[in-house]
Amino acid sequence: MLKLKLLFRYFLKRSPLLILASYFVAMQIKAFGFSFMAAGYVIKLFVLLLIFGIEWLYDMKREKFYFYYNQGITIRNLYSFTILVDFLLFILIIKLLWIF
Amino acid sequence: MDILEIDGVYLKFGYEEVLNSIYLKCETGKITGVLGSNGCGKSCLLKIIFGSLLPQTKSLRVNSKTILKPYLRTGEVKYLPQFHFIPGSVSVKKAFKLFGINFEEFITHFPSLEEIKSTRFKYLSGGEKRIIETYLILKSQSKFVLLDEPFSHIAPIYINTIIELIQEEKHEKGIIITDHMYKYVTEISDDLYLLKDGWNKKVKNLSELEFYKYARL
Repeated sequence: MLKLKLLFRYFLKRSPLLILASYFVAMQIKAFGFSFMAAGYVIKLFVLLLIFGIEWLYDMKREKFYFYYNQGITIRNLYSFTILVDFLLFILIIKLLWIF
Repeated sequence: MDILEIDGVYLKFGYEEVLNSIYLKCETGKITGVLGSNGCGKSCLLKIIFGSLLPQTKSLRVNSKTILKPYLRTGEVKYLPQFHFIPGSVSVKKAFKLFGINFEEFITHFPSLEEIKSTRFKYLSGGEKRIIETYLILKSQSKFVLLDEPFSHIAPIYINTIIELIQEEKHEKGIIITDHMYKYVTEISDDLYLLKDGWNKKVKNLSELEFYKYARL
């Protein structure tokens, strides 16, 4: 449970930009149809890589991760969880835009 | 009693060899001190033991069982890095909750820090951060604790309290400590190792520190 809390904490700190990108892509899909899906995924992937890349550059020695390491959480856990939740939110935003 | 042993460590960054001939043993109930000059690889060695730094080769065993990344095992090893590791946005109260440590007990040891309970880490001084981080790591549930420079930025009065806490915790844990305030380290250590030019040596007599040009006694 604690690990899950910390994984969520890590995601929440990065969520504003990710949600904004999801909303933008979902709006484009609604406007141009599912043909925009492939381009949408590329935009989403770019935003994710941008966030992780900036973090990587600002913290070359991975000092911030020791907070998570001490709770048994790896960088892979953090990144995988962020990608998964981001994807689920993306699907949810598309669904919501479709309904309303 | 739990025993942690590491040997066969070979670590190099590019062409620079950092560690090449290391043997270190830590037992629960004992404090193991690691001394060495700046840049000799003390922090790297602790990171290798913790599992966050993977060298070219190593053999790390806990109770004769090989482990690659001890930090992935809950309750095995906790590590206090030499930098501040708790995110600035986390409040002191929240940090204690996340580590499962009682703040009221902390206040009995450091009464002057009571007022910072709701303060976020980014607003604390370097010393306050260090005291809290050291306390959290020391008190966390684990068999072994790795302390990298726990006394830096800390006022002498608090250093004594931290030493008392380390002595208290060693009854249940194995503690590996490294710090440039070597007098404190030699005072509390049951076993002492000196790290130099990539190899290490168990120190039996403090005069060896002078012989190997680590300190002037």
